[in-house]
Amino acid sequence: MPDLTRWLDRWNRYWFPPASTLNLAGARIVAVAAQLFWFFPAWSHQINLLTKNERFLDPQPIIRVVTLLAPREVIFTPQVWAVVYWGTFVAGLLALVGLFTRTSLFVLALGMWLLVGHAYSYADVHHHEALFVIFLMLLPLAPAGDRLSLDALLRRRRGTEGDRDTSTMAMWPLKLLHVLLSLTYFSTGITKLLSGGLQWMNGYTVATYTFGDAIQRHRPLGIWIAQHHTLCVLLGIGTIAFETFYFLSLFLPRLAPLFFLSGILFHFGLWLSAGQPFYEHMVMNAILLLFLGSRWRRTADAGTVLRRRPAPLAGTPLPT
Amino acid sequence: MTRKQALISAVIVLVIGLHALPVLSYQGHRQTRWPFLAWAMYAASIPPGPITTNQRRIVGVTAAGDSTELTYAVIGVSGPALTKSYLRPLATGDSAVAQSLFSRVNARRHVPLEIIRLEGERATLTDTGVVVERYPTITYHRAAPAPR
Repeated sequence: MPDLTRWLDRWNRYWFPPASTLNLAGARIVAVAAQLFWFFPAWSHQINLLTKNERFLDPQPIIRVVTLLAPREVIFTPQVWAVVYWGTFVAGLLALVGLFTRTSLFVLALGMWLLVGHAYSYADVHHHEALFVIFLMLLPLAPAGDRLSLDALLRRRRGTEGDRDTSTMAMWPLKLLHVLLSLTYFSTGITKLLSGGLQWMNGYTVATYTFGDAIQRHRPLGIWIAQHHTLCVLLGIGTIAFETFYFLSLFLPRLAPLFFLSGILFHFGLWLSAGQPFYEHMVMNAILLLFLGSRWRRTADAGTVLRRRPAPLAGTPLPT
Repeated sequence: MTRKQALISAVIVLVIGLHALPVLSYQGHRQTRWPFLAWAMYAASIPPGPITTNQRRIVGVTAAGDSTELTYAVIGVSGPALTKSYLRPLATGDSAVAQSLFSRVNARRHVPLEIIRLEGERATLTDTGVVVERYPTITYHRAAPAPR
């Protein structure tokens, strides 16, 4: 039993440290704004697939659940889908300003699952949205609207604010995002090593993939990179190293911001050279950099936490 | 641990655990248990040799000679479905697929397409630039509609 208690204490210290709710509120605003104004699904794509196909070719699990509740002819019509689409967008706007924050965040996340699940139900599945919409679905379970929100403003005016500047529930979504992002990168890195072996770093692999995408997406930089063999070898080594060892940032909190910054630059480089649209991963790394790993974040936490209730500082390493 | 923390702990374990699902029941190249995915795209290594890439496109032509590219968006399918269902069969001379494509596209057009052309090229990377070789164009004509 003492062992179990010790493990539970470690678990709580990692996932539920007292922390400022400002970080989570900031993460909510950045995530929702990016979703709404940067990579919200295109209506033309949704309606095109909906109207030009009489059936799903490969319905995703969430779409299969929906069609169990009601047949495709009822739910997946332009009229109903327009309600889902614009309802999701309006919920996103409410989540952004923090009005009925938990509910609006839930509707936004559910709507995104439906829209992305629908787009991928016609024999084409990609993965750049998946982790981001999981993160969106975590936010309604946390006090993401306790600060920087109309809800907080209204509470203050009503005099029912209470102490919402700190919470033990404010860090776990960011920490879970960090763990899931580490798992994702490790999965892609280790798959390359298991499937392609060390040959993946021979230069020809990066050159061929980059060249193919660069030609298709009209990226002169990608063609230039593919012409330089040594550079392709170095990029291959860098890719494997970054993806396989990103998880070390979980155990090295002081160095974690460097990993997050590398993540942003990694995806920006992929976009620039090969047109790979991993915008969500750029935003997730930016969220971690701004609200989980930065020095100013820890300083802000220290000020708030120590002022409100003396307690150990957030940012403890993962239990080992 | 509070009740709320216990519930969230269960969520954390569930979300992390669900990511083991596609690994334990590996589906092959493309995983479809969205959003919990293991992904193997770009995982294969390429041996030393020429660096090339192929591009194919389908072009539809009306009787008046107006042409339009039949992209996946115009046809209303996804990119991989375009390749699997149309580009590959058309490249092998499958006229039945061509006729089904005529039917699908013309059903939504005021002016029907009479000809479908499969065009393409292979691009090869060299030290001095990109060398492009065009593939022979394969042409399909719309079959006359059956008399009523």
